[in-house]
Amino acid sequence: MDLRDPTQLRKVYEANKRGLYNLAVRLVGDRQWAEDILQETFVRAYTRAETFKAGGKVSTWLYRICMNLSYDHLRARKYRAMASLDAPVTSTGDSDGATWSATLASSMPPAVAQVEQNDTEDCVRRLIDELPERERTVVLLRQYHGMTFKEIAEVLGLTARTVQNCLRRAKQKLFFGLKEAGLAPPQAEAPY
Amino acid sequence: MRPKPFSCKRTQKLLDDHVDGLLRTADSEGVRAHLEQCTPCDTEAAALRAATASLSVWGDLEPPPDCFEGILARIEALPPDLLESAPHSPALRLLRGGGRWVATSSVAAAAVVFLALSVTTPTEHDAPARTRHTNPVAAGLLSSTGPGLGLRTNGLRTNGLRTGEVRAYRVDDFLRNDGLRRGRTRNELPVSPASFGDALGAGAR
Repeated sequence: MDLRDPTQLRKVYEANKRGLYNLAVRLVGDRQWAEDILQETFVRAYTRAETFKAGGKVSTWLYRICMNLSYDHLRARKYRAMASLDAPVTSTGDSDGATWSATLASSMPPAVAQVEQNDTEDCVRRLIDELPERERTVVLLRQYHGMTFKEIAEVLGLTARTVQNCLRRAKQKLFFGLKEAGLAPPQAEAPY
Repeated sequence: MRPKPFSCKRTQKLLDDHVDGLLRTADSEGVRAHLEQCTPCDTEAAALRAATASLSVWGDLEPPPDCFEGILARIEALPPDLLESAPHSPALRLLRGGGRWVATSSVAAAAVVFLALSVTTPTEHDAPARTRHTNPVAAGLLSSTGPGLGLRTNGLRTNGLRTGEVRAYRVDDFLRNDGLRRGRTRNELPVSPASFGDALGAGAR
């Protein structure tokens, strides 16, 4: 498999674009950024084609690149947000230590926040975002990309057993989150 | 014939695949038979099902149609040397061609030599305590590698010399303190690179 060959690159792109794009969307939560990550994934694959181990699965390799880029993006965004939100509000001329984050915290009326929280999709999104990186990736790869524990283990560089434990922990957290939000089905009781 | 129920341990191992519908029929029936008679496992399965069902709220999206053109444009814009150097690099070829052990053993050998040079070298002359335990050649080697190499491990002690002190012999410091500070340019330094180790030793003394 020579990814420097445009025909082959196109073929690999067509076979994996949907999965990679959706993984990026679900990880970073933004279509524009997800498109950027998808493109960068293939540029990386092109420039670092020599790092692909012969005999391995191209899709596994691409998922790994895409996942790493997504997390790099999230970390950078988190850092930027922290840096900007912790900056003092100087434009008002106040020098009492007020920050942008403090102004944001009080800007949303409680009723709006409550409505948003009750929305199932937002709630699931929030619960997934709150999961640790590894658990989040395991859930997404398993649920939306139909990967087996072994395949996920290859993408993440873990053992299949660890991946299974991660998935179980993540689903337990999801279930409790749903239950707290009153969104778990009534027949499902907390087993733990 | 009714399938034989699995044990709790086996069920727990297969439960995720069972909930996701990935088990073979025989295994699936064994798990189901167990769940019918074991309330804790059944409750856990229900919770997993609820969590899995909640994840179905996210549908799949199609990437924009012109996305591949964007990739080609980015590739076109890459600097040419980025593509020329990487795949043809002999070092990378060596690493990829099963020659990793060569690289690993080379690094190990270099580390041994480095450590041998940096440990105590008994000296007869009466040098200040800070320089007495340091081999100037090792210091020279260290200086070319910059900070962060093993010896600067925040206060670990090696033969009476605090590792942070090795930094006193970095090339940059020598140039700054013993050479450039006296108004010389780099080309006018009093020592050649070949005798640099000796010069460092002398400078330290």
